[in-house]
Amino acid sequence: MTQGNTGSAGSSQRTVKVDYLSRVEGEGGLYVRVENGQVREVKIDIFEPPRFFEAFLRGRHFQEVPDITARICGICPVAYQMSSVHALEAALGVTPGPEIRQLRRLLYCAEWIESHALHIYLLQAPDFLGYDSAIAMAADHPQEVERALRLKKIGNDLLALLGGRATHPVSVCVGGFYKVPRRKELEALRTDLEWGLEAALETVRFVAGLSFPDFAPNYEFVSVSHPDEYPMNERKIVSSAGVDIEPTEFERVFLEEHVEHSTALHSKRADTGTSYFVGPLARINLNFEKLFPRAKEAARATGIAWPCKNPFMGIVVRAVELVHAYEEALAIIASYREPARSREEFKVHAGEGCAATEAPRGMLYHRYRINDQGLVEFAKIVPPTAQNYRRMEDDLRLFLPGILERTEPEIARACEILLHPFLEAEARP
Amino acid sequence: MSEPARQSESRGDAGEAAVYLRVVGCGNPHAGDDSVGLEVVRRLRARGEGACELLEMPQASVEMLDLLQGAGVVLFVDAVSSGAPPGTVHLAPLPSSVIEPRALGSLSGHGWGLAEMLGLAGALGRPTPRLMLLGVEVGTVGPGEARTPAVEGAIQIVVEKFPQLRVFLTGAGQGEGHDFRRFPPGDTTFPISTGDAPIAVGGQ
Repeated sequence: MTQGNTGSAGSSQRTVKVDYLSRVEGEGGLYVRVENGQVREVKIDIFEPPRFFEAFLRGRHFQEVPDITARICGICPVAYQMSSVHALEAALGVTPGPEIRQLRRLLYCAEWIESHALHIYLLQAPDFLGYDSAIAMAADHPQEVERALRLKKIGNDLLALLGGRATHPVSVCVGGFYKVPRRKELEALRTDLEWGLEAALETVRFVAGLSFPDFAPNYEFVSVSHPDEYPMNERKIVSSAGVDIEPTEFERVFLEEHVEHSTALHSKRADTGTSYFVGPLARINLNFEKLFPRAKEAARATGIAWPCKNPFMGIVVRAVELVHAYEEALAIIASYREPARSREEFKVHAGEGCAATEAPRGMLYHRYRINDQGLVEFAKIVPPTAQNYRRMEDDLRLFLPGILERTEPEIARACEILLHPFLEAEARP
Repeated sequence: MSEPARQSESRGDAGEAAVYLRVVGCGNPHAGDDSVGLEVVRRLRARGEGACELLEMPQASVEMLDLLQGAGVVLFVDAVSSGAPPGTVHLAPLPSSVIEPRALGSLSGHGWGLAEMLGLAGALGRPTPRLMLLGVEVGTVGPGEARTPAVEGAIQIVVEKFPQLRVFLTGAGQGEGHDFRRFPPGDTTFPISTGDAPIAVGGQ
């Protein structure tokens, strides 16, 4: 981190610069300039080069797409993979049966478990407990860190069973799965999942006891919404400002644009040009009643008034969703019937389709066009973090005036803590 | 991040190895010589090397902590970029101030590598087995490139001489001689003796 003070007679200027945001995969920094006590400039600077996934998907066969998009993120490969599968199934008019649909939700549960356990304990908890790192925290809180490691490992085991391996799963295909698990294989995970549910409830109690800064901007929350389910893999897109659209309308309502200071695109509302917020806080605020019973009960027991607008409390929401994921995983396994076939048969034809699903850190959107040979002609991928960058910069502008009396290192640290709820990996597909 | 792929967990005959050896291949399978660690493990598995556990862990992750449990020696096989000629084989105790495994060092994602794994293990009071690196000096690590002949030669030597390496690491006298050793390209004396090994700098 670097910082400085400059100024001429009658004016003063301070800059705060974080060269590398900590505990985040990818490469990004932060630049803040304050002049005469006013925040003049805020830039989240993603300087890692773009990876051109959308470009090199062109010309590939549609069944290669799930395996390629799973490589976009090591933390949320399922969300990228499944968003592409749903979009391609929309293009091809394929509708898998209920057993496959349940297995796909189980796949999302596994990923949410992995990601939320990691994020809560190793990324965010050290911030609120005053440690520089999870390692420093572990010395004083070994029980919590051991709990995190086991919670995450159970998610890994579930994902490895369903996806063929715990990272970048390979069993998913357009139409279903290449291979589905046997009932007894899923049953073998039940004891661990039951332990995980109790540990997730303990996690809610742990994070609800943390102290959070008082900060509650007036967000437009955006998430996927389903009439009967807490949102994971379908269906509509809704917002706290009244948006209620099919995924086919996403690009009419939300716009991505280049900004000079970042290799990642920024998103905004197409009509108003304003930022919006995707992520766990958006999901729970827009879908609270669809949480599973114990998750809902745990959320209410925190004492937080829902809907909640404090981004720091995203750690509590992740813990509630951790409960939900364990609870739903157990329910799916209890009712699981091995499908007669692992994937649907269908005829390949030219088409275009899109889908929005929920990665652990928020909604993502995919659109593909394929030709009559099944080759991709166009791909568009909008990751959750890119949708939040504009919102993050807005939050920093709102948050900074309250901390300008602090030293530059303290300001830089406070900004990082504000950004951690939004981040796991930067967004440069 | 990636969890270790437990594709072979054979410990071999109970009395054969006094110390349980876990071999962990690391690296990027699609980046030329960076794949060397994964390829060594793949070939050991293909030839039925059963007296140790063979795992693949393409990159560093929190799950590395699991590697510390239940093994007497953990041998990481990884690419290294130290400036030595491609195909040079390094054998070093970890952590090392002399040489850094590519997948487990400063290039790893989320700032998580070997040092963080050991730090977290220490903070949690988990015992740490002896950690060793078998590092192969890379020539090219470009995306989609083939491995260089020099690294292919090193792989062949390492796989052929693996039984000696296993005894060296786990057998009688396994507490001796675990200082830093370097074997020039094509040196078939690996792993026991070489012209300029052991190097006096040590590995710690």
